[in-house]
Order: sequence, then C-alpha cells, then structure tokens
Amino acid sequence: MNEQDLILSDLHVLARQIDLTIPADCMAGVAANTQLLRGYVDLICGMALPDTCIPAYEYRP
Amino acid sequence: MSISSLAQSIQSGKVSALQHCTDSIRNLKERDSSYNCVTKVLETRALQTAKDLDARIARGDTVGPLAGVPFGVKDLFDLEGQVTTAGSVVLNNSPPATRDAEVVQRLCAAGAIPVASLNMDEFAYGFATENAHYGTTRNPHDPQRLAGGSSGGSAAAVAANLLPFTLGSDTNGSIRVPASLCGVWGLRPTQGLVPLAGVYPFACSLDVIGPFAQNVADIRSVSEVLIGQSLAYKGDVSALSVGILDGWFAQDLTSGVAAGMSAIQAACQHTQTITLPEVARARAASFVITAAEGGNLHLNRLKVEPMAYDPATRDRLMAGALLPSAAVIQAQRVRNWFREIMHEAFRKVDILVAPATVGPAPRLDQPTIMVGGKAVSARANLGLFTQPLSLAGMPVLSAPLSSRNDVDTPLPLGVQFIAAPGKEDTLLAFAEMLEQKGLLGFPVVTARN
Repeated sequence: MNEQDLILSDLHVLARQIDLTIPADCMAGVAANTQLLRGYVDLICGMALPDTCIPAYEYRP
Repeated sequence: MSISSLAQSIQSGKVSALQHCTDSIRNLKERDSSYNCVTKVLETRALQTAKDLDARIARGDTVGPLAGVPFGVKDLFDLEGQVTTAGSVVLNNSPPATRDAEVVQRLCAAGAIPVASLNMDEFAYGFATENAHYGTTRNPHDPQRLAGGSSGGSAAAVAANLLPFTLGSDTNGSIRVPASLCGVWGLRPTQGLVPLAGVYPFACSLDVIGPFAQNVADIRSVSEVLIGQSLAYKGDVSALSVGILDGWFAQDLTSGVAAGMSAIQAACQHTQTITLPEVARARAASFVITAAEGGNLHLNRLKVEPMAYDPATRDRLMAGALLPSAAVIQAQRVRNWFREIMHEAFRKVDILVAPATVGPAPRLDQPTIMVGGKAVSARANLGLFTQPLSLAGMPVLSAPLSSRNDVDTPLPLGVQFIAAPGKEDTLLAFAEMLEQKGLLGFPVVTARN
C-alpha cells in the first residue's frame, strides 16, 4: 500500500468513528487538509507543557 | 463627514434621515456591481426606520448618538425577518430570524439604520471572500485584487465609501485582514466584551465581532455603542510604552510594511523590541481549534448534504471534524500558556505593534502571498500575523498605514495594535495620536475618484 492509499485508509477509519461518509469527490481535498492539519498537530503536540497548564475551556483573556 | 457629524446633522434637522438613507441605498445599488460587497439590501426596513426617525426628531424626542447613520452587517448577523445564511446556501431553508442580533439592537437603539447584509467567505472559513455561492468581493482600490476575508464585504463597503461603518466577525483575523487589504480601520475587541447573541458561530471559543470604519474617531463612536461604555482615554498618550514585535512578525514583510513599522517606532517616545516565543505553535493551536470547532458545528449537515457546501469550505470542515481529541485539548493548553506570555509582555509595555499582513492585497488571478520565499495560498495564509494574536483574545486594532509608505504600489497596507484585555480606550488613543501625525489613514474610494 503506498502512502496516499494509507492516508485514504486512515481517513475512512477516522470518518467511521464519527459516522461520517466522505464522498469520493471530496477525498482528495479532505486528505490534503488533513495533511495540513497534521503538520499543525505535530507542532503543538511537540510542545512540552507543565501538568498544571490546563485547557482553556473557560477562557478569559 | 464623520459619523458623529452626520448624526448631529440629522439630529438637528439639517439633514433628513429619510433623504440620507435613500441616497445611501441608491449609491449602494449603483456602485456595488463593481465590488460585490452586498448580499441583500434592506430597503423597505431602512426607509421606514428613517421615516420614523425623522418623525421622532420633529417631535423633539431624544435620539441616539448614531441617529440616522446607515450601516451594513456581515451576512452572519441576525436581522429580524431575514434568513441568516452565513455566506452559504446550506441554511437557506432555516426560519427567518425573530429578532436582530444583540449588537444590531444596540446600534438601532442608538439611532443607526441597517441597510444591507454583506458578503463573506462561506461560514467565515477563509481570508479571501471568494464565495462559491455569492461571488468574490473585489478590492475597491484595485478591483483586480482580493478584498481579503472573511469579512470582505464589510471592509470593502467602507473602503468604497458605500457605508460609513459596518460590522464583521473575527475568529483568526477576519476583521483585521480585510481591513488591512482595503485600507480601512477594524477593531477586534477583547474576547467576551461584545455579545455574540444572534451571530452565527464559526469557532465559538475564538469568535469576536467588531466594527469597520474610515477613521479612528468613527471606530470609537461605534465601539462605544457596541461595548456600552465610554472609550475616552484619560492618561497621557505620549507616555505610553510601545513594544514592536519582531521575530515571527518581522519576517516576509514587503518594503512598504517595513517602512510603516519603522515610521511608527520613530514616532513613539518609549519603545522597545519584544520577541514573543512559540508564535508558530500559537498559530498552529489557533488553526487546530478553529478546524475542530468549525468541523464539529457542521458535522451533522456534512453527513447529509456535503455537496451543498463550497468545496473548499467543506473539505476543510470535514478534515477538522476528524481531528483527534488529544490534538484539540493540547491546542487549548497551548492557548492558556500563550495567554500568560501575552500578559507578561503587557507587564513591560502598554501597546504591542505588529504588521497585519505581509503586504498588499494579492491579485485575483494570482491569489498567493510569499512566505519563507515560497508562494502559498492567500486564502489559508493571509492570517499569518493575525492568527497567533487571536489565540490570546486581547483587543487588536487594525489600522491602515498612510499611503505615503508604499510609493511603488500605492495599495493599502495595515498594522495591528494590541493592548491588554479591556484596554480598547488605550488602543484608540494611541492610534489617534499616530493618525494625527499623518502615519495612519488611507483615502476611501469615492464615486468621483
């Protein structure tokens, strides 16, 4: 399986988890955006934060 | 004529609200075909409201500080009796709004008159106002260029002198980017300061609404009504300490933007350079939160009618809906961390200064900007300097640089002024000082020029 097939396979698994069917015509666009977001996810998940740094659910600037 | 001068003329009876409103609507209809700012003209409502206002003034009733001033709203603000479509056709069958958005109510109570809804990127997801359903909004300073987005119709309507002020929303820069590209002023108030009731959401934990106008005095007049308090600054403006953001915010600038930043620095008495750490991660967190919240908001509709969406919006929303929770939670943790970084900066200075965009509006036939030596999509990247700042939720004013800063391409360029939460008064006073020195302000496009 090449990399593109792996990406598409991953997308189907993720989509199934939220009961979303990605139309065939949309797969390329969704895959491209997913790749873009993965870059951002890698960036933030590579940042070490103290355990006391909690999510900003009740955010006040 | 400033907004307050117009309102005073109408209050005193020198100008008829009905005549002014009639003229404004005629101007909108005649000139908007060049720019495509408007999605709906509220002619019947506007003319009736203006007629009623004239009658109240004739009776001697007290009318508000924005009496008779026409305005437009981005197509995601509820207007009573109208379907709020948020730049899409997906919501076309929704019931009409039963009341105006709360901020529209506040403006109407102050005497302002809504006359139009304005174009935007579908569901506010973009920086270009290239809308598959309602067309592309063109930049009034060069109709072959983008107006920016997502509140492009709101910015362009002010830049084209179609309306004295408008409302937009800003999640990642959707007020500041089009304000910069169109040469007008735009304020993203402190997050949570202005109510969002009756405003269609995008990424609700980042969404803020605010005004566009032609000068800082008009921004103040409108913002005081939106926020419900005076924004008069009582301190000494010349004593304000100013931090010029470098690092991330000093990269990829065109010569005109760099010259404008230098001129601002030279005009201030107390300046220092500030380097914010981890700005790329702050921007990434903003991207992830936006994608996840936007994707979740639309998930149920994407399951049943995905092809009704603008393809570019749909693909981004779907990708966002698929993001794992670990990424979204980490993004919200980064956000709290970055908030502390920003507060630390405001322990050193009163105002931060950053560019709003890297350069002037991209051409419609070449919708890219240069970042790191590469041409990248304008629609996704025009928020390079606005997105990281959205994450912290501080008030940010986008101001047009004086036209003298870019002699090669006399197109608008913008800068951002950022203050600590609730310090809108400081922002406006600082900007007014620079406007008076001739460093800020760009002429609007009139029917004659």
